[in-house]
Amino acid sequence: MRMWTTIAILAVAAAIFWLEFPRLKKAGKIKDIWFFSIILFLTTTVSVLESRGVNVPNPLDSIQAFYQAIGL
Amino acid sequence: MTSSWVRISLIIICLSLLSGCWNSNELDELGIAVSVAIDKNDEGDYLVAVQVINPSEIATDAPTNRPPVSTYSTTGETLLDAFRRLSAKSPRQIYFSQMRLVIIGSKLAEEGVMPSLDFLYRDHEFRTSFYVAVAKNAPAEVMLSIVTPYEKIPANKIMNSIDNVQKNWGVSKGVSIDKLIADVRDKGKSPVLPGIDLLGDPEVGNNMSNVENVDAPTKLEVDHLAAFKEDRLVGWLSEMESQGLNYATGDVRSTIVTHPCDDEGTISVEILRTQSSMKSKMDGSTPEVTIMVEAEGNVAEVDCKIDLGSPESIQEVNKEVEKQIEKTIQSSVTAAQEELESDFLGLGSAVHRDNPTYWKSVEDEWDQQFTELDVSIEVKAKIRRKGNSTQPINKEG
Amino acid sequence: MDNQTISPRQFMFLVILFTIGSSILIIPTPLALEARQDAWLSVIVAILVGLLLSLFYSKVGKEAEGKTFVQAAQYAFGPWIGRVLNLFYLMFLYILSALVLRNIGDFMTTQIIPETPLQFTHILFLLVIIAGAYLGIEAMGRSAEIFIPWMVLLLIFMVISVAPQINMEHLKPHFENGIWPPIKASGIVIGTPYLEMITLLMIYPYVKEGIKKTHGWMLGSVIGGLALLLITLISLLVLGADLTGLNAYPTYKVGEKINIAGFLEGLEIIIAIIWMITIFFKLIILVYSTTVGVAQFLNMDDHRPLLLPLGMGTVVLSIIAYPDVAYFETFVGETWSAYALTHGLLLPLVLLVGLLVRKKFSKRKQT
Repeated sequence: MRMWTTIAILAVAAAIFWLEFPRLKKAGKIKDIWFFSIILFLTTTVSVLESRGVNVPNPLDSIQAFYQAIGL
Repeated sequence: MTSSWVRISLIIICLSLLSGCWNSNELDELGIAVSVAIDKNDEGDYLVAVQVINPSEIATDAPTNRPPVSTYSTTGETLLDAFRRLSAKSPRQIYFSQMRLVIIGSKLAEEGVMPSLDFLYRDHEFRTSFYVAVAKNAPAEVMLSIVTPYEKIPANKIMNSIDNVQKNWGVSKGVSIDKLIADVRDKGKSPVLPGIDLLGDPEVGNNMSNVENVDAPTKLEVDHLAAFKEDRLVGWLSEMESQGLNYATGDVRSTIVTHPCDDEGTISVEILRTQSSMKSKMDGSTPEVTIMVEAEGNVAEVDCKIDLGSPESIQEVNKEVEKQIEKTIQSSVTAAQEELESDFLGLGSAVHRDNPTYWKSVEDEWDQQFTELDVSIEVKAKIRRKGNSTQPINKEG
Repeated sequence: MDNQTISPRQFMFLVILFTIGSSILIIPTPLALEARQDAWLSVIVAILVGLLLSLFYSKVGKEAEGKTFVQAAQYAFGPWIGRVLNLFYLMFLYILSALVLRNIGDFMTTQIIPETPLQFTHILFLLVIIAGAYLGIEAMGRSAEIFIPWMVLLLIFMVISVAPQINMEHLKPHFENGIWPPIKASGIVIGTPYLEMITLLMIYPYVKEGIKKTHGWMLGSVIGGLALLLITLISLLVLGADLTGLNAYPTYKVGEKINIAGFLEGLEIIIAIIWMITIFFKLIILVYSTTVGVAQFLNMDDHRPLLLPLGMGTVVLSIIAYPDVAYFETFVGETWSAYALTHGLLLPLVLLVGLLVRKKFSKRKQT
């Protein structure tokens, strides 16, 4: 079951890449391609991790801790 | 060229996605429950019975001899537990969104109804449109098995009867679950629930033959109100007390008031509309509550020698009606304050609304405090018309 | 980002929908718990504060002279410090989008389709939103124009249908605990949605010029607030303060009570439809603003490629953001006001100061 979810997520990421890449390549915006790919990579990784049950750190926890620390 | 392929595949994806979902339930896999009976057995387990519709019997022009509903009952440690066990007995998944009525057994009612209500309120399948009632003279699950004449679905029959009584007689009323919960939670009020009576032999009632007679030998009837203290049943109100309560809370629509004439005979007035309010004032440091009722009606049945033509007679009838309604309401107040010691009229809520600072100091001991409460009743009656006859048909001259 | 513009009236519609957004779902319950039957006063106080906020934001927008928040920050403070500011800003927007997405997901899985896993509801909803964000601000503005009349109609319909079940006594005793608790409770409504309106500073530059712009913002926030007031009042009047605080979705319960002519029931789904429409618009504004913001942060020309990857991240964030509803209620009750205040008030103030200083600087340079 876990495997299928991971495969599905990777497939989605690949589809996203396949959808966007040609347009970006045609416009020749190398910088944009890099940014796009990096962000895609990051979010795909987090998705796969989450689907496998790895405890991804929750930003809300840090926010709560921060505001508690400064006494609000 | 590519885009039309994309478009077509998108449409196909949408179509296939729209045709079903995770939570799909086919209609013929559902057992539509219309009524639930809840009680406790001797071991302290919950006893649950469900009345499920037999759709082929309801929606057909050629009914066979099969009953229009089926009941299944189980026991369980908690309510949810019992409901889940039903799946062993029922051929279909029980679907609760069409539920009309919950009947609570008197044993459970005396113990306290709140624990059973949490599941009924929290689960999303239950809507809040169903009535709650107490089984008065028979176990609750027996009442579910009675076949009723005229109305195929017994739960509907009971619900309609409750509405009828409330609308046309005023000695009982329908209480939905959220009103029940709100009243239990309100420190200034205790709830009331209508009662259901079983007349006749339950064995006969279980059979289709019950409705093959013109006058069905076994019937279900709506009884007067059960009074609670918080969520425990503490007593049954008489007809007069129930009606008095309904007057006070503005739940009387149409009813009749009968009172004797001066010399002999009676005159009946049909009440068409009532409006009531409860206001509270502080008299120094003690609170007092005034129940005000305004009633409008017509003369309906005359069996005495009164002169209906004179305005003085009508005024007199007015006054008599007011006195009668006052007496009815007073009986309810006495039952609340002296006999049952439970504020099911909501006098506390009135104090809370109009004197919040005082209320804060007494709200925790309201049960004891309110027995000393000074309650006054003001009724104003307006008789408008006398029907078709200008004078009693018995009158001479 | 794409040279599209919307009219001030379309902007006003977007503001209205943004204001109603997720608040219509989540504010009656905490309001009833804190302010009880005086919760209506909290909404009124919040509307007034929201009015001031929209004036303030418009001022910031004006000083930014056609730049979005992200562009303005990098202009006023330079590329490095400006980006630090924008980091906080964009994180705020991103987290907010995940939370709003989670709001609608929670509702659907509580009341309508409990057996569906959360992710799928989120993904399906977000896909439509991404498609809309792809099409740009003009499409968003026009869609807002289409949906607003339906919203109004459905709201009016709901109010009229339950009108017979209204009990004015439910508002008594007035100010039982004094006037302070409802005023304090107004913080709930200010935190959601009014302080979140800073999101709109990403869209403001694309609204056609004119004094009507500011008016659009102010009017939109008031009208949206009035809709929230209506919903809160209806909950209080039909259910009473006690039950409103008890229910997770009290307005849905009110919808369940709609009973026309004794047989037309089950219309509570209309409430769900209203919610989906308003949350859709709030979320699409958030997604669009976040993506455009990230694109401008990275000096990209087009925000569109980023929509899908960021969307993926939003889904994940919405799942991990809180494990259960209790966590959510604590977070909203304790931390959100402070978080929203810093990012919704402090941040734009800093930006405003920066812009004004920059203006003075360049004036001096000219002389």
